[in-house]
Amino acid sequence: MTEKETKVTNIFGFEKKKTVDLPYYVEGVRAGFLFPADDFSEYKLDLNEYLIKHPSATFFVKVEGESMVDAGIHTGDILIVDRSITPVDGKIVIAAVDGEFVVKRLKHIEGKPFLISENPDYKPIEMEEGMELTIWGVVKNVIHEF
Amino acid sequence: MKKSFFLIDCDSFYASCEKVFRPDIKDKPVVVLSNNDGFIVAADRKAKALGIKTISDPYFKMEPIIKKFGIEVFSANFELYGDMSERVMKILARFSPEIEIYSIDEAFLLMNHGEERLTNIGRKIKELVWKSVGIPVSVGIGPTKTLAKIASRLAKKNPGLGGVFDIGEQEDMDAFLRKIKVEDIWGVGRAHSKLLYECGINTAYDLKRLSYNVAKKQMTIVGLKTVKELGGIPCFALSDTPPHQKSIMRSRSFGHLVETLPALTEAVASYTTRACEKLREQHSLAWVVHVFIATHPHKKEPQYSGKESFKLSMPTADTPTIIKAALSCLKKIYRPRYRYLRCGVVLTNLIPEHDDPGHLFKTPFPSSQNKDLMVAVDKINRYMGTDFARFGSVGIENKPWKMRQARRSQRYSTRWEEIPTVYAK
Repeated sequence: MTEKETKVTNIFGFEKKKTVDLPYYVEGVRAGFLFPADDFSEYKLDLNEYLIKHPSATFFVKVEGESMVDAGIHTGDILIVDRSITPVDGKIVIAAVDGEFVVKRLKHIEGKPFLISENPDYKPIEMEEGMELTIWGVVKNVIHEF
Repeated sequence: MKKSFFLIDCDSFYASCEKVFRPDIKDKPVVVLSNNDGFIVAADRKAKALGIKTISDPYFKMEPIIKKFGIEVFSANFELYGDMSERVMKILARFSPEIEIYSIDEAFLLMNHGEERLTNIGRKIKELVWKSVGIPVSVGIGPTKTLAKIASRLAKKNPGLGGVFDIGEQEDMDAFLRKIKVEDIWGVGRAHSKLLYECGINTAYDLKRLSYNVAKKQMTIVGLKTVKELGGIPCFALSDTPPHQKSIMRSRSFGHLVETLPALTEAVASYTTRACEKLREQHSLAWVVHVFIATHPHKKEPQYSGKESFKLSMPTADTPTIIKAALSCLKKIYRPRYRYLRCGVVLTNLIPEHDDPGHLFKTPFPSSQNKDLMVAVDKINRYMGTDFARFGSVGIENKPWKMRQARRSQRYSTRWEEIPTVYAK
């Protein structure tokens, strides 16, 4: 077998695999018959595109506990957390409180930060002296399976 | 237009990745072990301050210190670090289209001077990465890559700078260069620094003042470039980092068209072996393996081409491991009843074996014997001709090795089963 060296023509970088459905009619018009859907065939609905605005800052977390049920967040749900969103008053946030992640609504009352539950059975957490509060990210969506 | 280099360097990258998902260890010292848990490959600042060394000593030697101070210990979690690295790099790429990803935790950006003070841009980069990904970074800025590296070092060493330092805007740059030992200059190897010390050249300032002739004579062309770079004359462009090839490709056109899987398997295994030799020769490890096959484009017969990539669980230069990955790619893309003209293997996402944090991959070989084996095989083949000693894929069965990873954290950002839990209580 004779072999000959070939040049590097194309080096493909590593990318996460993504399934792509190729649009069916992309190849053009056959025999003068215009299929009216052609113009639109390149669009597909992509949940990632809809839900994730900042992929580099987006993480998923799993919920344990019932303190946020009135906000529609139940045990076993998955939350889409965007760290790049600024945690302003009223946002549902992931906070690190005393070394643990909690999901609560952030509220400032008379200048003091509170982590409010969305369930009358649970008391709000008031940030007292000596407690450390770090907001880890802002909850954008909840994925709940019925 | 005037341009400056930014070097963005993640602080204690592996330990920082672990801390993002573990608020309970936020203030604790952390060490990360190699793939087989045999060595400490990374330690954060706090662990280093307690006397942890990451280079030479095996883990068991450090165990007393670890126990005494309650240092947190993790097995390396490359899947997590790789994903976090990708996130950081994507954010950096927003600041400038001219980016070079230098290693898993370092990147150069080239930026035009505009209205805004460069230090301000550096702060914005630092803040955005911290906010978005939770990884602390230092930013060094300078008119050349070498100076940006020095600036980054100064930013790390002097907490008062807030992690961002532009050496280019200093009125007395030499005062800073005097603080940098020659051995700590990018591109100056240990051998050269010994020589330089003997000549009384101790600091970056001394080296900068060396005549070009002497530099070239004593330290080759790379040394000359380093001297010029210290003087503010850019010699290393983006992606033109001297000693390292960024990808390795081995590919051939067959003398006659090949149809069967066994024939392609043999070819792919053989090219992978060649690529791995090159990899070890330049002391690199590869993280991603690509394989492609293609039919003859100018023959009037059915055409097909396929390519597939495989990301290894950790960077390696171990031939059997890489062959295994390459062949799994080949199996996926092989289609019968075509006649193939070409096939090839490309290794990418290369990491220097000894670079910092390269020596993090202290055991890039599945077992210590394997490294010796690799070296032996390379030697034999050099003497006896290519493929005298060869890896069987091609025959001999590759034993799947098991890594010891007793303390690996969850792969928080890449596996559904392992995402973090948050409490609603």
